[in-house]
Amino acid sequence: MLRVRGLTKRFGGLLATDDLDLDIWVGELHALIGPNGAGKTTALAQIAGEILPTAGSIHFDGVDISRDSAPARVGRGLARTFQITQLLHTFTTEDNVALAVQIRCGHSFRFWADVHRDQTLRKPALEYLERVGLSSRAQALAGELSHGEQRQLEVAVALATKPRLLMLDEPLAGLGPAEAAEMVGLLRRLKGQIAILLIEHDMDAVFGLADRITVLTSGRRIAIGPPNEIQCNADVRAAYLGEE
Amino acid sequence: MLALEQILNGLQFGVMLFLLSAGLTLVFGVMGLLNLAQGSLYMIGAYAAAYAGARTGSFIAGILAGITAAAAVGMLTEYLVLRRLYSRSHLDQVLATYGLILFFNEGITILFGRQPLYVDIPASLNGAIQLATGLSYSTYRLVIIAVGLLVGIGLYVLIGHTRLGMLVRAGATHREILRAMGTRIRLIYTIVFGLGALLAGLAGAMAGPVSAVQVGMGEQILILTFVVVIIGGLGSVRGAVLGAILVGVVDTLTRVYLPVLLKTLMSNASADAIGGGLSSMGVYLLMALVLLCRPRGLLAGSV
Amino acid sequence: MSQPSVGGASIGQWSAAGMIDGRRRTGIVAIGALVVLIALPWIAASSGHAALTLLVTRMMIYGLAAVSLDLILGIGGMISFGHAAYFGLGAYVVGILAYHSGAGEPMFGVLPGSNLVVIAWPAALIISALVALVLGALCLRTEGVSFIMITLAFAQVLYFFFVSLKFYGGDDGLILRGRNVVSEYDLRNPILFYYICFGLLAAFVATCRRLLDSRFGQIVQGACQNERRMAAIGVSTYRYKLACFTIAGGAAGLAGALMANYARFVSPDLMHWTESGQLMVMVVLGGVGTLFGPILGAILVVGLETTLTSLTEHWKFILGPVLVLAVLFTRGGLWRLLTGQSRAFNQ
Repeated sequence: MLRVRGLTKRFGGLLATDDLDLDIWVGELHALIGPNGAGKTTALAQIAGEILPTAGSIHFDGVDISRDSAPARVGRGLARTFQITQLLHTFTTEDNVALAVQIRCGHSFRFWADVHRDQTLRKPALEYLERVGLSSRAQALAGELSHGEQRQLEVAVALATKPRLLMLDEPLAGLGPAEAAEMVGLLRRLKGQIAILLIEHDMDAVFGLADRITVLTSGRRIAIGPPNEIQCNADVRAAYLGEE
Repeated sequence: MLALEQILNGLQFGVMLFLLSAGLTLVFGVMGLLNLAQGSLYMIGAYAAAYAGARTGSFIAGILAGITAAAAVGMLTEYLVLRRLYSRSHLDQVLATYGLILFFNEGITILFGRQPLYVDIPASLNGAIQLATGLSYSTYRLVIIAVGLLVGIGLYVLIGHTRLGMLVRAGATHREILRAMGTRIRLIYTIVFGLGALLAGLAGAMAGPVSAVQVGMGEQILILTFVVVIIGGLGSVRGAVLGAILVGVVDTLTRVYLPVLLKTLMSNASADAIGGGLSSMGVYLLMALVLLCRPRGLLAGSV
Repeated sequence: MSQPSVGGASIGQWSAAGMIDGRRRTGIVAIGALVVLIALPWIAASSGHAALTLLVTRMMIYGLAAVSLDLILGIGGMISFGHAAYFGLGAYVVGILAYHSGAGEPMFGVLPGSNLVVIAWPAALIISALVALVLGALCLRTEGVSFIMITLAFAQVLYFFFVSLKFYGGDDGLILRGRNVVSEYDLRNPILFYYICFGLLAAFVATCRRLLDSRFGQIVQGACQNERRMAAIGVSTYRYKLACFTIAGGAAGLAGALMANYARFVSPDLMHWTESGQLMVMVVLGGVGTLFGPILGAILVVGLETTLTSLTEHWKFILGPVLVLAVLFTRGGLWRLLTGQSRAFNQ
């Protein structure tokens, strides 16, 4: 479904992504792990279209999207969440999702009708909130949500764009044990329904959820395979232990 | 040969723009501050130079007074007002510096009245130099161009080869890291701002003999300074050089030749009527063109 | 953060509970202001201060221009320092049409002038909107500080253009022989003119409020808060911001048309960058993003200008530092002071 070949990104003298190849199959949950500074978020940003790669190609569903803008990629079915949540803080939780629903169903040059009364937006929005477990907080302002709730909202908003590939950037970071468990539960429910690219540091979650894992160090892929193989891989251990 | 003379005029104007825009772009690059009052510093330099020059009879004294006044007012303003704006939104910066413009403009009016001041070219620099057969050019304007060249070289050395310059380059791309470096940074900010103010004052002091010294002169040239910075790229001194030369030359040439061109196409009266307006628009068309192709400016990203 | 605000407000004051109380206060203040404005000409006439009607008319005209700026600045997050260009442009459309109607000779030998409201005012609005569309399309290719500078630069282009139009008075401006006419009503009646300005202002503010809740408004507000988020949900904000910019330009043009009628005089000074600065001051002092606040800001600034000018001709010497202090030490503007709300909410 997603085919990345030879992805390279240079920032002046710094090589952030080094000839990266990545494949994500339909319906799989593919984890991307690596020590801090390995370039995971940078890689994700390139796939999402936020950063323009120095070299390489990105194919989605057989189509070359390397030149597509970020919004265009979302239109094709590529969604992402952010490591540092990027929510509209003065909008309510429901409105955040409704906005994504609105974009997905087109026709945004409407100047008169009140979105808050538009059931074609409200209903789906509430459904997505239900799916991530945030129904009770629908009317709260996004800025008031707890850290974990904001993470859940990010996922809801991403889901509202009806993606075929969902890319999550450290959804568990900074969450307490209860919230983390909830998030893992959510990911488990999503698994299989859509393809997921998961960047995470929490190894329990990664090994528990992933179908395949790619390991990144200094922008380069050093290993790829199912969790049990990665766990035994000497290079991977060296990369992590060396880092600690 | 007339064309060559006009090109030199354009270069001379470009030097003025460069002095102003270097300060503007440096301050933005290092501190993230859009300083609308840069034009006011130019005006203060011009007035101080005119005043001191008239009182002492010495042109050099005037130049020094202009530079000192602008730098002093600049650093004082930075210390009292501007340093509180570095972390604020652009809107706050625009409004506060706009308030400063009102204050300075009215202050100058109170001190000097509304009539423009006229400054003579100093006797030693009066006259022309023979550059080539058939081309003699005003000595004074050549001196301005020479000063611009010196300043350009000086800035190049400063930014590329000194510790202060290193901080400027670092600040241009990693402001937060620079801030985290502690209290010394405030002094550096004041120095950088002082440098920008000094350059503006120098431009103002030199401008006296070639343009009228009046309230509002700052804002007139400020707008063009913006165009220079936009074309060259915010934060880039090299961009300021390129932009200043482009704007200076294009502006001068269109002002001189567009009316002439129009006169060949239509009646004299119409040409005069439209020509004035269109020729001052030449530079803005250039800016629009640059924006269509390179929204960030021609040399954005390099310092 | 891309959201402009004087000082920036904390999340705490946006709590759901606080909002309900705030909405009550907003309602009270808004209705109170409405009542005062509607009754004003009657109050002014009966208390012998007929000139007050004229003054408040002027305040409302600037209020309309300021609200249009707030639409792009406060709601859309686009800091335009050249908004007065559209204000002046609208005024000139009316002025030029009036000139040709009065002088009898048509423009370019073809277009007749007009003194009719039904022609001149829509013309001012449409032409301003079109120019805003073209200039906005260029300016919006930049962002942040560059956007501020380029809007300023283009406004000056228009200023210089009209200064060079000697045919229409250039620097000296153009005098209108009278106000525009709508069927048999001559707008020279100050009370009639007052209510027309009031009606247009109220209609525009109501339209903007409606816009906020629309799909279009949601995108514009979203773009103001977080462009990254907007890209991540799949929307290219450029055309929505451009549409917003165009609407605001048109409204400013309408305000300009009113101003031309009010003063019976147009000059390039109406589009000078200092006028843009003044509009910005009105928006900020009144309350960025509140839509109602800028009206208060206009009242304050016009009022201050009128009273201070009689005190000293150097009043800007005081206004300058006052503005600096206001920016440095206050937050949220007059509207926040009165109602506790910092923004016109999308609820």
